[in-house]
Formats: sequence, C-alpha cells, structure tokens
Amino acid sequence: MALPRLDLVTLRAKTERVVELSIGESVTIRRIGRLEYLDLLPPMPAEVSGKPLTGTETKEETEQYLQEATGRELAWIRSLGPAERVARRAEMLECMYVTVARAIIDPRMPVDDVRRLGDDAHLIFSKVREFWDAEKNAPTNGGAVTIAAVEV
Amino acid sequence: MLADFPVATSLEGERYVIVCRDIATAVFFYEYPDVPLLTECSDKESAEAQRRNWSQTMQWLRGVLVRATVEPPLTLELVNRLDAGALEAILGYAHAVGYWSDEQLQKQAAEPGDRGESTRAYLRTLGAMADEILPAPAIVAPRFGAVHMPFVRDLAPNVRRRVAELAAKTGVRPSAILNSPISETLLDYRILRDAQQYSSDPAYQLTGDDARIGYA
Repeated sequence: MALPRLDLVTLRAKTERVVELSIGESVTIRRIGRLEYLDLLPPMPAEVSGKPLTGTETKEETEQYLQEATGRELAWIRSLGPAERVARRAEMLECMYVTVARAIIDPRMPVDDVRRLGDDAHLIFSKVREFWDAEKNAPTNGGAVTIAAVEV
Repeated sequence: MLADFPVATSLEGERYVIVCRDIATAVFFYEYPDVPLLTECSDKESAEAQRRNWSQTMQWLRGVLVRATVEPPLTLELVNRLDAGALEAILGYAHAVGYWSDEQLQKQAAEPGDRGESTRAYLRTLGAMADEILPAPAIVAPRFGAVHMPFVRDLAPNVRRRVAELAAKTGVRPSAILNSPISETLLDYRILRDAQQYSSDPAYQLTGDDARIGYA
C-alpha cells in the first residue's frame, strides 16, 4: 500500500497548537525541532560537554554517557561562583525566551515581548516540550538523549 | 539524472512520503562541513571541534532537505517541524542519490544504538516503497538561496579536492561536475575510485598479448 503524501496542511496541523494564556488570550505555537533548540543553547566549556554521541552506542553505553555528562555539568555548575551562576541562569533563560519567540507563530512576537509574558512564557515552553514527548525515544537525531542532559 | 522520487519520513508516529529531486552537486554540498561526522579525521579531533562538526553537519543535512524537497516545498522552519522525521528523510535521500552506498547502509544497519535502528527502519520502508509509482515532476519556483548561492559561496576544501580529482580523471571542467546532478557525480566518483583500486591488481592489468594487438 502506498504511503500517503505529506502535504503542508497535514504538516502544519500536526505541528501547531493553540495555547491559552493566563491573560485570557491565546497564541498559536509551532513545533520546535530538537536540533533547532540545541543550536540555541549556550555553549558549555569543552571539558564539560565531552564528545558528541555518534548514534552507534548501545542503550547501556548511552545511559552511561548521559550519567557522565550530567555529572560533569553539575560539577561544573557547582564550581561556578555566585555571579557566574547567575549569568549562566540568565543565559539559559534567554535561550528559553528565544525558543518561545520562535515557537509563537500567531501573533508573531519578538523576544522582548516574550519576556513580558512572564509565567506564560514558561507555560508556552512547557507546551513546546510536549511536542518532543512522543519522540523521546525516536531512533534518530539523538535529541532525546541530549534533552535529558539539558533538563538537569 | 534521477527522476523525482519519493522519500519516506514520519510525523507524530505516522509514515508519509515527500518527493525529492536529484539536485546539482554544488547545491548538495552547499555548507558541507570540511570534517564530516563519523569519519577518521573527525574521530581524531578534540571534543570541541567534534561538537562544532556535529552542529555544522546537522545544519547541512537539514539544508539538503530544504533544497532537495519539491513536494511539499519545505523551508528550514518546516524541516525543523519534522524533527526526527527530517533525519529519516535525509537518510533516504542520501541513499537514493548514492551518498551512502548499499554496503555502508548494511554496515550501519548492523550497528547497535539509534543509528542502526533508524537505518533498519529505513530499509524496511525501502522494500515497501519498491512498487511506488514515481511522481510526476513537480514545478517549483527556483529560489535564490537554493539555486544561486551554492555557486557563489566557497565549497569546503575536502569537497573542492574531490571535485578537482574527479574533473582530472574525467577530463571535464570542475564547474561541469558542480552543475551535474549529485547522483551522477557520486556514481562517477565511486566507479572511478573502485577502478583505481583494481588497477593495481595484476588480474586487471594488460598482458603482453594485449600490447601486441594494440590495446596498450
């Protein structure tokens, strides 16, 4: 049986959601690709990030990689001084705002306006992450693996 | 040149096909990293450089899909929406045009981990798609970024070397190769590379009789 052709209507319908905000309005968001999100993340020092996964690791090796990566990241964050830690938090927050700004397609919203959304920005970001749930174990792109590391 | 062909992808767990085109070599290698992932050169690099290569390779792969898909026409934003499905489609496209050989694919399918799993899924789809009727050629408006820019921007040094090598062997200008469909370039490259390997094998060399009858 022939597979159905993907058309833009289907692609849009499956990758867009309406999110109701606390202010009584709603926005339409699109799916953000995990690779797209990873590109937005602030870089970590080389000794912390380690070598990327190749996709050829066994499940056990992947779990071990994750544990090690998480351990390195936590140790690095603990080693930061208070000011550096605040700066890192600000970088991560900025990344979230940029992600949310990219995700909102109606009405289009620049990053400055997203910052003003307050808690609703976090709500939208959580909805962006819901898109990824269905494919957490997707056999490509390594996104699930990296997302787990990002969550720390 | 290959006719437009279907490539399988997935979205929210459902399988679909998109229609792709055999794009020009320069368009295919636009933004190709100088040190691609999973090569010996890449393995020797520092973790930081490997991360950079990873990012560049992923950017290139998504760009290939933007430039090669004719139905539906995809922008980078739409490719990003496909998420993991985009990389499944790229795997299919790369195999269809000969970037990944059957042998590489079989080797990859035997690997543990995510890459092996996705390759096996692709191979199953490939079998199911064998009877798919090729789509009628789609008309797509040529976009400046996809058609013109690849010929303006400099290619990665490794691609330039390979193109120069192929041009020397085939006796054509490098620009002719860069304008050729990617499937033809890759096929020529593999055939000539394999022929070079055989040329050192005595079984493939000319005999004295060949020389006497004028083949040498």
